[in-house]
Amino acid sequence: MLLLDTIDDDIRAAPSLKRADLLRLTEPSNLSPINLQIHRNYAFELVGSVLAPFLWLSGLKASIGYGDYDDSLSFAQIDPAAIQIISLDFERYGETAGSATFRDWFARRLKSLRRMTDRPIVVANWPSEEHQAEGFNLELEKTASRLPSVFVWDTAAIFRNMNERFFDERAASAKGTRLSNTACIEMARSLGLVRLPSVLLPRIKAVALDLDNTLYDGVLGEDGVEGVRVSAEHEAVYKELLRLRGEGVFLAILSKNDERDFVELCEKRADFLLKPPHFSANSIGWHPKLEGVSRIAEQLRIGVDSILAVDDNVGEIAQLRAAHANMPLLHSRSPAQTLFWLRHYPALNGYRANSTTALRVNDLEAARQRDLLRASTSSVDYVREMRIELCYALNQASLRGRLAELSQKTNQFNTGLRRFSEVEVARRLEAPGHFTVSIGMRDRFCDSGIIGAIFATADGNQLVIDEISVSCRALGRSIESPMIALALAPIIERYDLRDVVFCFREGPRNLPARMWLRSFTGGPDISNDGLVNVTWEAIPQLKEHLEAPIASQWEQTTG
Amino acid sequence: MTRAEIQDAVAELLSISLERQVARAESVTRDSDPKWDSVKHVELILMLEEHFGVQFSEEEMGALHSSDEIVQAIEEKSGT
Repeated sequence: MLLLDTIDDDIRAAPSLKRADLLRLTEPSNLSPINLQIHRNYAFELVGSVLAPFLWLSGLKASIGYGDYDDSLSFAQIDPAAIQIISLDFERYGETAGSATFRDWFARRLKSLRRMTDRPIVVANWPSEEHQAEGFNLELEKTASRLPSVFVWDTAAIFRNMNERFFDERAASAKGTRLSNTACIEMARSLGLVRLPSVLLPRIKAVALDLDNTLYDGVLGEDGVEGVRVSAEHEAVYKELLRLRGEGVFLAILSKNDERDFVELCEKRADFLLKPPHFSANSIGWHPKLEGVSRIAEQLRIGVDSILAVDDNVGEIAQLRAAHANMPLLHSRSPAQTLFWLRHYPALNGYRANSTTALRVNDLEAARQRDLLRASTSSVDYVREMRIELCYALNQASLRGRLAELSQKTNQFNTGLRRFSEVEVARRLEAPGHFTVSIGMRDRFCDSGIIGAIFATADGNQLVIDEISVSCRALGRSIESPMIALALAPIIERYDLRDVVFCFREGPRNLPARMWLRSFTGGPDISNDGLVNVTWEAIPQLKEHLEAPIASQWEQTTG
Repeated sequence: MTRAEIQDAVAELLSISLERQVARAESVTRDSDPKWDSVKHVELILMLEEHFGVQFSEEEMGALHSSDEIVQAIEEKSGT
């Protein structure tokens, strides 16, 4: 849940934050508790004490556990249920910190902590301009990317922004840290607004933007295309929006305006860097914005609560909030403030890109083209005409993050609802007798990336399917059965298995998965323990599924 | 800045730090309030520096044991 109190936004967005201003803010109600455990060798408390006001925006309340100062990272007092945060003053290690031996030691400690808990680990990098820090940070990025659910907290970026203001050696021993007061607060802002929300919350999928006095100064209908004013700060906002789009976040216009004026603005004003193709959905007209945001959600095939609406009109913001309590909202009061929040809005930034992230924006237009094709052809011809290619991979460690994402985020087509974490997926990828299949898909319209995951286990002569999760972007092409049959067949054959047991758990939105399961297995009832047991060879239309006009290949088969 | 203004500001920052209402006239000492631990003390010093635009040395930080001493130190530093 995103909790958004625009009244206090100015304090949190201030270029120069004050500790007292943050501590004066009132804690909102209905926060979700989280536990953090800090592994440190300095007084992180000065960061932790101002973390709360930033986390509140994400609806989170942290209980922070501090161990003793521990240069050796022994993790002797670990709470395995807590999110682990490592933040060190690397200068305490002297010359050693720049050595390969230190980097190796640190990587080993990180791996050791990974083994102790399944919870996310956030590790601060080395905030310094020294060459040795740069080398350490590069190595840390590599180590973190190889470990499941380990996230680097880029305190070096904060250091670069602050330069000499980052440290305040004065009274360092009395304070327990060389960090300046401002650095402590900036670190809390970075951790609370960006790093932790991106670890804990699903990402906002779209930004819906008002036009007048939000994306430029002036009113398009009154000032005209040439009369509205675009400042350098507006241009920075455009570039930020385009960056987000490049990361797979949809852009949309949600404006009470004449659409022809908007198109003319895009055509005639070179300084208005946003152009119609950048927007995946629009609601431009004189209807209420509540209606408009629903239209945008429908066009993008996402929930309203995944859309961040940006508007200068506080009345519009209030109406949206009243109707959609969990909808992310930003009351845009200046381009500088909008720019700040586009960079810091909780659950909008800090997410790891994977091979599929950036493909989402293209997939939407492809979905529209598929709909047109479906309307004009028979179902068999439709599948053939789409020229679908499936690419399977078995136990592919590099896809760990995406496989976990599919398990955790798919709601409609998720049979087991096991919600495997990245750590659990990593464990399954290495465990004997476990089969984790990724499914990549492309068709004549676009490459959809990895859209499906199958988590299975061999048990005697049975293949137990713990979960099948398929992205909603891949649904509606009538190929679920061939896609899954083509994934299972080689495993059944290679391991000489006879039966398939599907584990099904009913959730609020996975009726499509249930209906598919009934259709695929020929309709045996789901037993009380949520199992559907079928003999592989007895699956109805198995031959047709395996011979469907779909190209398929296996990228790698190991295990 | 008058002494009364300094006292008001110190009382308000102490209220934030100790998470209870501290009145201007109240004399609070580190010994009398268990919440005034070493971390709260550093945090209070940082807020005082922010608010009054002054800086405390390590020795001065260690020597401030009460609200009265803080008010006096600020008066001296700000030349009022």
